[in-house]
Amino acid sequence: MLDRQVMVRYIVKRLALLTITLLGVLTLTFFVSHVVPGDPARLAAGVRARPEQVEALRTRLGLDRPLWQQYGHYIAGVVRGDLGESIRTRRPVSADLAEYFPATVELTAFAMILCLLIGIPLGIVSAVKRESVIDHVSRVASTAAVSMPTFWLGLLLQLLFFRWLQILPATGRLGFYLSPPAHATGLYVLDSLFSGNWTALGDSLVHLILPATALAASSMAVITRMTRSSLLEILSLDYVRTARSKGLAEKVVILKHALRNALLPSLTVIGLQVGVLLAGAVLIEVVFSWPGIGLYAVQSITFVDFQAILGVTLITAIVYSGVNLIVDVLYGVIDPRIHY
Amino acid sequence: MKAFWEKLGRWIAVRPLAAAGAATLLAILLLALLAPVLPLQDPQSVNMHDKLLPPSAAHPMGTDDLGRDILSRVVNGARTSLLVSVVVVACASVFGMGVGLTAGYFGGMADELMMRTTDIFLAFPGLILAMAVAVVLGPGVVPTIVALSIVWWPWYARLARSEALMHKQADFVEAARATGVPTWRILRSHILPNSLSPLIVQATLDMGYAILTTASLSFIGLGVQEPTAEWGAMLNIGRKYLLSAWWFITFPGLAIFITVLAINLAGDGLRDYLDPRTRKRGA
Amino acid sequence: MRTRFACCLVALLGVSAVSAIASTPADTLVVGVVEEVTTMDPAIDYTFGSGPLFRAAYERLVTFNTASGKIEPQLALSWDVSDDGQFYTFHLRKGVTFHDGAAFNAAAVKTAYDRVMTINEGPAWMLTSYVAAIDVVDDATVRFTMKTYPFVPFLRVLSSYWGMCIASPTAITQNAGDDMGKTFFRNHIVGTGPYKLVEWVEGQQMVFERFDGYWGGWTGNHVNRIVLRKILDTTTMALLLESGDLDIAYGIPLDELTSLNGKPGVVIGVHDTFTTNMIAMNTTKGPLADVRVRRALSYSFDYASAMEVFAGYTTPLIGQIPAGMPGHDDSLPHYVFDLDVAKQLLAEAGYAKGLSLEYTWVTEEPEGRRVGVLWQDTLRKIGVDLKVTEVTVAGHWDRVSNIETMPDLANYRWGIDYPDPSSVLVPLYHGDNAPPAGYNLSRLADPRVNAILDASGKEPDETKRLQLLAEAQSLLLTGASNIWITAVPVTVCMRSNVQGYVFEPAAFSSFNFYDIYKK
Repeated sequence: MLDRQVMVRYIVKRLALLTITLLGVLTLTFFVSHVVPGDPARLAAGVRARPEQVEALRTRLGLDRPLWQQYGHYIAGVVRGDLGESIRTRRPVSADLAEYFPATVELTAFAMILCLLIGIPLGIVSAVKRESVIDHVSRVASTAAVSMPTFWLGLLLQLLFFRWLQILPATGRLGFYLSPPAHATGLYVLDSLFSGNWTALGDSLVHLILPATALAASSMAVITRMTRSSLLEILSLDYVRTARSKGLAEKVVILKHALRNALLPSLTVIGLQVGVLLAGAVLIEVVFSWPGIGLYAVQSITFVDFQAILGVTLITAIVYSGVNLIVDVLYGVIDPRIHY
Repeated sequence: MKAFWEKLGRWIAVRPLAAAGAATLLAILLLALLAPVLPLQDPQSVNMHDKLLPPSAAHPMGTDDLGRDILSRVVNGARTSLLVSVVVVACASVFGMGVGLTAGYFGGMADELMMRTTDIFLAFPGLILAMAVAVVLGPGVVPTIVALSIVWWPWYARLARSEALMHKQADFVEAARATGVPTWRILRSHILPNSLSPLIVQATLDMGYAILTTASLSFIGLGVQEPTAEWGAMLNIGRKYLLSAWWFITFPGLAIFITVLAINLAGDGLRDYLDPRTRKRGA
Repeated sequence: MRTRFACCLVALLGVSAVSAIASTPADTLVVGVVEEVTTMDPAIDYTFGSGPLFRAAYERLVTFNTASGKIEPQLALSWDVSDDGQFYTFHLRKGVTFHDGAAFNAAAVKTAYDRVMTINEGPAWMLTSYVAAIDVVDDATVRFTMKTYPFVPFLRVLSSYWGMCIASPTAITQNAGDDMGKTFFRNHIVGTGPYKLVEWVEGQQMVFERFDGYWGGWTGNHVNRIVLRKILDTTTMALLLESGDLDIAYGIPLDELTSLNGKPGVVIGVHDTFTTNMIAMNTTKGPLADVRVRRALSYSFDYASAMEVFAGYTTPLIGQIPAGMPGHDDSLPHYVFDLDVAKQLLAEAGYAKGLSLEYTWVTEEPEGRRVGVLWQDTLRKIGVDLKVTEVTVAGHWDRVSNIETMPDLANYRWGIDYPDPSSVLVPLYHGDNAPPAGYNLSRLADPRVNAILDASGKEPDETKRLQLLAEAQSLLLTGASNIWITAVPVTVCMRSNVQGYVFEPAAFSSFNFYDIYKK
């Protein structure tokens, strides 16, 4: 690794930029959410609270101070790891996020696994058997999938598998009688694996099927298309043709030579899809009553719960930018031609 | 004229899917334009005693929870959805283009500032920002357009910037600069026209995304308001009757799906034809 | 084919999603609820979500019996009120213990209520506005000294479960911390009620078990365990009730009840609450400052069709006080739907050519949407253009609190704080209670109404008091400051083997768990 030092310097630079970006994100959201109509002190005190109660609470929450002071106070808190208190749930926002975020991670991770397990092989088959029935079907299906509103697909799946076939649950993370597995990661699938709670494992997987499928559909289509087109491009290149003419088995050519190079551009696309999935999760969580940060964000926004909105924004921005950074670094690791 | 038809015929033969998409899109546009004069029921006429009726001869797509004809609302909803998405794409691309071209051409501080600003907008899901802005502005068609444009412009700004960077080194621009042509005229008559076509192609391709995002915003209840018919808003209400009135969510969703599919198919054809540098993006 | 595929999948997954017919254990009552619970602190909580838990685990000095309209003893056995109404002396039940073993006595009452008043959030005003001091007379006697007196409805105020639940003094002192125990009481209940909280998985479920030391004893029919399941999705809730996974399903929307019609073993219950749905008209500015326009609008409202918004389960409100509450009067006149009269009144007021008005409805009160769109369609016929705007609770408060931003028409709900007509009429129609101080959204300031309301709070004779209230209601109808739509119904559906449930409109989201059992 000749370039290790260069790479470290690159990562440090990116992290510094990221910090500035995150500060910008917080600033933007802070000021946008503070001009939302509605008096948070009033809501926190309860709509029937007496004016003096509201004022007392306003002072306690620091909402009577000028906006720039509130801003400074908030940013100082974030630096200390204090995200403030939600006026809706009456808990520290960090506690809320700790509870809701794992559900979103679980959902998006499963959606991503579906995308990769189905999208990449489908893309390879489409490319290798170009213009075959499979290729045509997969192309039509992926065009259809990117044209479909995620939330509508979710609703249709609920109608089909919950209402008519009655074989899959429509909402929630676990069945009615089950208690969540012993808390370790907050991801029910992992937690039940760790604690050997097979009932909870099976049930949480069953509950993931519909929301993860609905969420994954459009990203899966994008990944299929990307894999197909980049593999086609590589297969037409000289060295692949040479390898073929040398009599190497087709499988070897594809798997060993072509695929590695074809997957490289897909990596960026996959990284971008993490962001798409996170955004889509907002809607899917609403449809499936999935207790993740998307649902939390929607509830917080209508309740003018500033601190909660800021917390959600911060955590999604970190994940979003973090994934981008990792993708860029990986890109360099895999492809030695890239220099930072 | 004859050459045109021949060309069209060939195009249909080579790209049947794109042709089908374009034809469907044309039909949807016509329906949307002609909705007021079509023999449809009044999309706003309430009849509480006819609420939630399944599809029948009188109501081919059934009725909603206020006894309104869903067919009529789906057709009229096309007007709203198409209008909002066209205006969003137009606003976002014009603004983004202005910022991006300027930043790209001047470089330096202006460029750095623009890049860092767009970084912020692109650093988290646009839907969350759009939700917050929509709450600030209140519900309605115009706030929806503003909210979505605010979220979308950075994409166009980035694209325009890269175009400007590329063209500002071009010989004809250098020449113009050397002869003392004012900067704004260089921007207007050299950089802009040369950057326009990839931007326009991108904007066309983004129409589908715009329709989906508009529908998403109304689906959370932050978009277009009653009694205006809009597909996402219909789904938002219909969701509450998912198990008892399947038609309520099925048809508006189908309308979104078919429209976006048509745009994507036609757009794919267009892109293959023009083959510009395209980009991938997140919602 | 479809079934076989389904069976295979079920077998494959090893779990059945919804279809299996289940039944809950005989000694356990499983209740599905929709309301959110964010804190269990009786000093802070001011939401409907707390109803079931507070009634399972906490008790108050007195309760209100809807059927008789009378105040009944709970932790207080009897009480004396001084002639001038300044002192309320309560003689307490003896031998009562809290879940943590602490004894219930006069000091416990004082500790609990002093805490509520010191924290002074949410429901505390119901004590701080009226009570000057609480004194321990002896172990079993506690005396309340009133700030302003006489205040006739005070006992009814004490029957509210908001703010009036008595928590254990030991728990209060031991867990005070630096926030007066708010952290502790957020997720702990230490009361004297028949059931004690054993588990709370936030946002999911609460489990209560019978408290062996309950003063009421455990002879007779009771359940031993209560499970409150929060179910976000009401269609799921209906299916769970149908399959027997739930004993009681609270809050299934009216429109969804059709899916339960005729299902074996399911009893559908729809009850009118003391919460009313209304449209406030802005009497201070714009066209609605003219009473003729307000009356015209009152005639333009299609009351019969509006009942369909509530799936036909309810009837238009007569007067302002919902049926079942003292002071409700069926003989009061009421507006009927008559577009000709409406048109004529508009013409008289100079709006023959029509006018434009804005109507808001609150996201969390979804009937407002359909009421508004229905009315909008009706008003089109007489040239009135109604703009229907959705607002969040926050937005609603922002707009109604400021006279400049107050919409012409605002749909809203009012749920009573305590079961007395003054809890409807005073906050909604007394001139002193314009927002943000109170809930008089129309900003009606009729001195005659104010005088009657002031007098009725001091009138100890119930008959005379009701006469005064009838008079106030007539005046309000003439003033047409609101469209009075209906009492909002709630649904409480249950399995047919559930016995002993009595609906209480004053505490509609709660259950008389101690009396409920399964056959």
